[in-house]
Amino acid sequence: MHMHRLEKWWLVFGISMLAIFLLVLGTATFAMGVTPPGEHRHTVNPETVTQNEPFDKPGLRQVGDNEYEAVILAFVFGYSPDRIELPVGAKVNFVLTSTDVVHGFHIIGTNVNMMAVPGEVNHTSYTFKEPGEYLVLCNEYCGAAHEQMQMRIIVK
Amino acid sequence: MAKSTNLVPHKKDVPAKAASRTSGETESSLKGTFAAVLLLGGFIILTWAGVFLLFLARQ
Amino acid sequence: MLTNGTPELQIDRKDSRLVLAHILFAFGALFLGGIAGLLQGLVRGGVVKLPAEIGYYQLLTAHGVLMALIFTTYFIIGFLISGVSKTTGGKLLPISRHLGWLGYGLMSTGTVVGTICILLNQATVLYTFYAPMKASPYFYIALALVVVGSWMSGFGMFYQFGYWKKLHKGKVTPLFAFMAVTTMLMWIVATLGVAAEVLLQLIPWSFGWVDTVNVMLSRTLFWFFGHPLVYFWLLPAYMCWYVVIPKIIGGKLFSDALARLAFILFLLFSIPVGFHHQLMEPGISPFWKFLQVILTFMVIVPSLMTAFSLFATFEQAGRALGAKGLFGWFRKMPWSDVRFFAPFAGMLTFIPAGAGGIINASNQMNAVVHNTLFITGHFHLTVATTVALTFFGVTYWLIPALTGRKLTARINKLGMIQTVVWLVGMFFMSGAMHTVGLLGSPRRTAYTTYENHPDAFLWMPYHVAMAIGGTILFIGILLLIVNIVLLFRAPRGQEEFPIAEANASAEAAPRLFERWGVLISLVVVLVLIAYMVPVLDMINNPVPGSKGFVTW
Repeated sequence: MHMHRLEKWWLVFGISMLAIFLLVLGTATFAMGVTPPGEHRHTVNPETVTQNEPFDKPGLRQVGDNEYEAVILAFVFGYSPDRIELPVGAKVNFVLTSTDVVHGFHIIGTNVNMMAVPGEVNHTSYTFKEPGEYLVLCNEYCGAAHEQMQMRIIVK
Repeated sequence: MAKSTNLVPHKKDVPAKAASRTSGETESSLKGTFAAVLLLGGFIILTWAGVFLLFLARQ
Repeated sequence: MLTNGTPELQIDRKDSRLVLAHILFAFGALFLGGIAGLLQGLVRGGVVKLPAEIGYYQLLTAHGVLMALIFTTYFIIGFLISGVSKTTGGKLLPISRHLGWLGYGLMSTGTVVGTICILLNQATVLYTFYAPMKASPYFYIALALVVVGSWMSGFGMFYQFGYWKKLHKGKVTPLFAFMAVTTMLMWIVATLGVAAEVLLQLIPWSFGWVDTVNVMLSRTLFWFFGHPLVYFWLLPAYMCWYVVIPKIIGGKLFSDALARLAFILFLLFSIPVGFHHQLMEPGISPFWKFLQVILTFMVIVPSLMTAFSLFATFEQAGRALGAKGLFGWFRKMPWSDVRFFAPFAGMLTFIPAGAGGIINASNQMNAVVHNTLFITGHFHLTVATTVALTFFGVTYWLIPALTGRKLTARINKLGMIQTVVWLVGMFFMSGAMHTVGLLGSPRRTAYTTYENHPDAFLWMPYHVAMAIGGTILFIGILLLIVNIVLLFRAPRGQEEFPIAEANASAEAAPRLFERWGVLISLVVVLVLIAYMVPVLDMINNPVPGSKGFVTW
């Protein structure tokens, strides 16, 4: 099949561009640990999840030197807890699930943007370098008062 | 090139094929296309890099 | 092809009726969906409040279903049938036409039932119907009817294409018909995912025959369909660009073989990519997500080829008209011809639209834009501008070609105005959506200030700009409806059905391009590579099932 010389050069350029994008993303994901959330399978029963560890006591738990685990339940139309307070520089490992429908969990101004799916537990980590009152909102349509679903993270 | 085909509108097959064989001529006529797609590629790289920097800034 | 039965019509009168039925239904859906869209924009911008009996999310469901599913599918099937008829002799076989009408009947039944469910507030689950939100079973049945109806029309096109090949052994198949068959084949494979979700999971669960649904599996099956869906919208626009536009600008096909290659690449790579919609979800390992990100990037390649082909078509046609210099050919295009201008505006829009798509699919980078208005802005550039403007451009010649009328200079001018109105409206709406999305404002969310959080206040001006853009776009829809009415009252005459011819020196496409068995096997292999391991994992180690919720 005949292809124009300049089209070949264009495809070399375009495919190299895409390959470089993938290389950057792949290196960050697999060599530097900047993965999308989720990592591994971790199932729970959404109907009994609030009776068992760790979701029987949602909230913040210190696990190391300025490192915390935040266990969070999403439900219509809110989160438990609905407010957490942290010192500046705290690293937080989020553990998130839903007791009913699918929800979102987006900490505005950060890369923490993940789905709360009933039956699965989602994980991600974030270090809060800046003080402030962070808005967390549900960005996956979940019902009539979806726009009310929010919580706050206070970093001092 | 366009002119020459206009001058011989009724000659068939032979000149048409001959024209396509002299690929040097047709090849050079797509330099505008090449420039246009490179601009497009540049735009993709700029926007992608922009959002990637935003991603790094929020990491 | 040259000897049509009726001189004034471009295809057989009976085929024309079938096509017109599809096109008019499509624009009816566009009008209703547009009303819903206008109201949504005004609510979110804080301009109006809805009366208590109408919900914002109910409107959102209506807007999504009517625009993204009904308008597109009807227009596409009508346009494809018209071109298949035109390029395979100007007349459909009775069986193909009957299948087309059967499809139309099934789809229309589904649309009416589905719309009633939405109006009764029994199906406010959006067109992505994410379980475990549970709609009325009749909503799922309705959408299944739409899908099955579209298959019928697809089978009709396959039959027509096969018959043509039998009669023209050894000849190159018409490019338009080849592309239509490739598009419908991709569509049928893709819709198997959503058909499985609806028939095996959602309908039994919604009727109460089973108690729970596997949410992860349902989402995965949905997105198996959900991404190729966007290529189902895009490929018919590409067909217009590849086959129709060269004729309108007085040129030839740039390369028949490369156009076919691009469509085959779309067939292969548009399906095994659904995980890039699920990058922020649990339950799928980073390896499988990244594998599908790579496959998603593969499907960019045929679009890069298309970009080159289109510019090359323009440049060759412009230089044949005596254009000089690097970009002189650009001035030679028929800028005041709406048949060219509207699709061209669509092509140009696809540059930022495509760039945005690459950003969305970029694995962990998706966290910046996931479920924000950036995504909404993105697909309002792709489907609601690139695809929609191309379809509008097609409409301006297709309706007269089917009714034996002329696209008059006056309607042409009104069409140009309508296109510009659309572009201006979309500049405001989609531009604001992209910007405010990068700031974090969520998609699919009613008016809220998040208890006066300062970040949310910052979003307000953009939401107002969206409302202004949406209002301008609604004016664009009204203008379009007026133009369509005028087209039906235009003077009698013969309007061209533009189908470009290949260059005299064009080479035949490789035989492999029409070995459908081989191509389908490749599709299956790619789907298995991308999906088999994670889906088997979801089935063999299922998440605990979810019972249904009605949260609206």
